[in-house]
Amino acid sequence: MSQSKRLGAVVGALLTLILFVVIPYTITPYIPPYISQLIAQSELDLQGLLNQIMIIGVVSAALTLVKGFLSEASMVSLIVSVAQNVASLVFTAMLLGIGDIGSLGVAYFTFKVDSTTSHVAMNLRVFIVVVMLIVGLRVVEAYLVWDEARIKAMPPGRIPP
Amino acid sequence: MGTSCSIPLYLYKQAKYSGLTRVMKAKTLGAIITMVQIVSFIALVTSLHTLISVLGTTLPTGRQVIRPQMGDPVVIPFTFHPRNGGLLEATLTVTLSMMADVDNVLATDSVAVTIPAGRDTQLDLELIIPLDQYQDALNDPDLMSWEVEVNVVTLFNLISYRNVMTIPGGA
Repeated sequence: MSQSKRLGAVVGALLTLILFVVIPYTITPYIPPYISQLIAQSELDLQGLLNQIMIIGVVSAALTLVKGFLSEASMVSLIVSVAQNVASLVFTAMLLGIGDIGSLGVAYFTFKVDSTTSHVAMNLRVFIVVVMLIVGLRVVEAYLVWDEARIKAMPPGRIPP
Repeated sequence: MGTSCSIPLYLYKQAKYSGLTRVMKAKTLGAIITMVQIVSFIALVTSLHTLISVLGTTLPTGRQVIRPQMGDPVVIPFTFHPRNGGLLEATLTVTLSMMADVDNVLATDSVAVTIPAGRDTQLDLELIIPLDQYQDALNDPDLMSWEVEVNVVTLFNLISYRNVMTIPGGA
């Protein structure tokens, strides 16, 4: 296994941690007051959303790190690739559903400005379907790469099944 | 004859067992995935831009004056000037209701229009209320409320934004 692959995995995991864990953890005090007010009026659970982002960030970073230290031909590597794709699908569903993964791309929130109440429903489900398609294709791609690596790792002269 | 047939088969098997076809498949798949990602990202950005553009211009901001045309029935006209500054066509539906209380709708009117990209339009709605009901509602303005429902659909009816606003008080 090459040293550069391991280094790449460590750098990738660190970047993932910075983007999805460190920034969400430290961003709250830097949100401008008018946006904080807007979020408060919308009854959005910002801390809950940030916690979800951080959890997915930790999982993604761990998967990136583990994958970098595995042989591409190993079954665990394929499983990790599939898990990474599933994590990206969960992340997209969480973002488009504004924290509600189960809504599958339909975000519901309520605004209260003075005495006016607004109930908002934003339907972006088509993008969840697109991401599902992309994840499906990525899994097939990961399988092909793994299958090729597995054949290459076989002893010379062995005919693959 | 047999030799000429077996050469491509041999090359195919060699390519197959050397992993060449898998590499090609994976690369083709990678290219398709990248294209799908780029197209879906552009679709997301343009759809959101269209939604925000239409929503931002549909409802007037600030304090509004309602001028009822007195008579029997009383007619309350409303005019909206939405503009679609986005890159996609959007269908806008506006429903306006005047409520005597939570469950009692005095009058309602709805209009739907498809606005092409870069165009604006005018929506006219009228609430028609019998004079006696209108006067009863005005006598108890604390119970009265207005409900405005704005629904915008774009990207070939694939994405939508719906906002139901309830504004209490007698205008």
